[in-house]
Amino acid sequence: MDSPHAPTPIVVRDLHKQYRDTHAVRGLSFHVDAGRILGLVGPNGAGKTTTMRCACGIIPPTSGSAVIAGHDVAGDPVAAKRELAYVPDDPHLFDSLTIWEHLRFTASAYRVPAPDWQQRADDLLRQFELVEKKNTIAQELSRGMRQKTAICCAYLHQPRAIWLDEPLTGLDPRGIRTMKDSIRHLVSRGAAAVISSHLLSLVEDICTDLLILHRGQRLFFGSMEQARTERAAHGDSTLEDFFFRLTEGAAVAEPAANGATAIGAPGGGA
Amino acid sequence: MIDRSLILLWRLRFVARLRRIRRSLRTPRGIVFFVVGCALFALWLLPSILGTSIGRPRSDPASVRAFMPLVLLAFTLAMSLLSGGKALSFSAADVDFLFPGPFSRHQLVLYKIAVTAFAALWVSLLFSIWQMRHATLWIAAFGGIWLCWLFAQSLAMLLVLARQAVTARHSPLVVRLAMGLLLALIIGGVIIIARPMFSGVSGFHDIKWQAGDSVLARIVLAPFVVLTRTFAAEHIWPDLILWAAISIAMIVALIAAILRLDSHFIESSLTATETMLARVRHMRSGGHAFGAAKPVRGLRIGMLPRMGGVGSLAWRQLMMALRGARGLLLMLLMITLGVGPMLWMASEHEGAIIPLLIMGGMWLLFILPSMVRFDFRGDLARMDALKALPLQPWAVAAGQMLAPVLVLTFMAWLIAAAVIGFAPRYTRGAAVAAIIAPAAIGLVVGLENVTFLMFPTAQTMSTPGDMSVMGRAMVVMFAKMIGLMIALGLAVGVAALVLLATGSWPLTLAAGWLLLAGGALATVPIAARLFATFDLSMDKPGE
Repeated sequence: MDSPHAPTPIVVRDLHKQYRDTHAVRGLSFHVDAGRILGLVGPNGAGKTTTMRCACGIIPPTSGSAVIAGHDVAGDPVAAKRELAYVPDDPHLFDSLTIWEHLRFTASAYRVPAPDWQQRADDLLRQFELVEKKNTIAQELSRGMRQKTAICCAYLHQPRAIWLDEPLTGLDPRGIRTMKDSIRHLVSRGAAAVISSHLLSLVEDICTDLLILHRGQRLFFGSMEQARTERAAHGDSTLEDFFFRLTEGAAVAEPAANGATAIGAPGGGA
Repeated sequence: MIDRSLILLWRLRFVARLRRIRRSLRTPRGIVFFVVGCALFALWLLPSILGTSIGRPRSDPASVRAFMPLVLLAFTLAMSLLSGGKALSFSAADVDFLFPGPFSRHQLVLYKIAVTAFAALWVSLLFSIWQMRHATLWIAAFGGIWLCWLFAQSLAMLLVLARQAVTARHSPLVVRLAMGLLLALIIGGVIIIARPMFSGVSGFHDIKWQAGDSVLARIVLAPFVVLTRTFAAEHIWPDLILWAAISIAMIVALIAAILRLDSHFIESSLTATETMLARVRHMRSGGHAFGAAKPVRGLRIGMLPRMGGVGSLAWRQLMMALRGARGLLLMLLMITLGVGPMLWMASEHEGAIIPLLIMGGMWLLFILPSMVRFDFRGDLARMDALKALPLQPWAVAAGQMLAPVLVLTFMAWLIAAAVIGFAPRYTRGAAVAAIIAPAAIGLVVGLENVTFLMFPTAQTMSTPGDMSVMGRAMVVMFAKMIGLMIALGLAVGVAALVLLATGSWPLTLAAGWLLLAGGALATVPIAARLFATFDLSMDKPGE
């Protein structure tokens, strides 16, 4: 468990990302405390993946910052990246390497010492039912197994901040259950997780906080409790109704009465 | 320095590549491919090895030193200007594992350079053996080629990063103007340097393969003179050691410049990688190698008559051809701009046009059909969808193969029109070629698809030195060539017999045409049978 003075695992401040003609992310700010799981939702093209890529140091933001466990991603990228893990929506593995070799490389990259990583790797393979496939080369794995391998690699160094882009794609029911349990287990040990997903049921089931993005802007950021209160206040019976009202209704920005950090709308900023 | 885990990754991937070759040797087909690949390399390199050992005269070092800087300049320019962002691209797995991993930009840049340098060792080994007679010492040839390769790669990388740095700070208009200016400077420089070579030249053999003695030529060629001296060194010490040291210093300077510009490295690499992956996906889905990754929207044709499903499938393939038309249009433009004037010039000289037409025909029959892949070859990823269609296998085969036949026939007719327009004296020959084209092209496309269904291969990034891949490519090419030669031989033979028997050219043409068309039609049931027995779990190669 983390000490009470440990820095917040994920802090994103006034993040902007502009491609030539497209403003993919506009002034996005949020944070995820230890032990929390943030659901990042939004329609296609909302800027979810761009936000994740910027926050993980894969692409540089146009302005703004992301801080992982006290390390600025732009200023001290290696220290920040040592504390995070990112699993993209369609993870690519090294075609000719086996699952075990992927874990071996990951352990080396994140400096997980030798007896520890093998024990952890074995545990993860057992947890994700990959033990029998550990010497299979990636090219011969199914979509779901590739996803599980990428997740095992992401968990191996016990990151303090984990970013998962559509983590359930390709998983079977057992895999989905394992995935959810593993995320809960990880955050119970003091990590923070961000899950980008179109599956609102997953978000409602597993997440403690919610961030709704639309055209690169924050429409809602707060706890699930606050989202439920907000939902009830506007007569939305489900999270789905709430999501559609915000993303399709384009409401005017108003301060939230229930303590949610912001409810904005396109143009309103956040 | 390079992180030790990156060195581990590099080692694991090298071992994995050897493991893959070993695994491919477990099947008879794999062994055949490997043996053919090895034989191909042996055939290529043995004359060079034997030639030097039996005392075939070596090139004069002085003449090598005179012309080689120009060759190296051309090679470097081609690599820098034509490679696009390839110099910076990573594999998709590298992007997913290394970019969010705990590595600094410097480490990733150095890793990329080290991997490139390691891969270049194999290429350099082959080229040094091939070009041994131009060098005095084999080790000097090997070192010179390897260092030249590194120099060109580093320069290409530096140019991409410099472009990205300019793009990040300036508007697209300024970037375009800057790139245009740079291109104009390069072209101007090349003209100034190369002009003295062609003064007083009346033929190819009169060209003086050495640059002029202007200040510009000396400055531009200076690095290539150094690399040439390394290649053509006559003694280990001092020649080779000293010139190699200067070459290494030049490369280190380029790498230092790359590291200074590396703030744009990650984003440039990501863009380059995504472009490369899009290109591979585009090729796998039926596009040609240099086609546009982005389809052109808005272009459409009306639905064809169904014809048992043939029309529906052909319509889909034609739409793909049309939407990926930027590359095709470019090819057509090249044909129009290039072939026309060439024909016009050649038509001035008696007999000069025949080799040109033969070359054009070979290109149309052998090269182009392998590039226009709007058929089974481009649908490997969609074989399951094709299998699920409620259509007879013959309809699927015919529908899949019709689009490339139509596209290529259109191009052949365009060339025939160019011949008639620019070299009217060959109108009759062009008309005959235009009549034969659909049947001959149908046969070639049919054979392409039949061999593909027998040896399905996914389009992948090239793997230098993989004997099995080379062997497979050669076996497939031989199979196609043999099939085509038999069919063409039969058609020509029967046509000749008809000519002898009747003396009628129209009847001769009709007989040849019917045989070719029959051959083309015969490939449809063969392809249909191969498609029907195509086992998705066994035959679909890894991508």
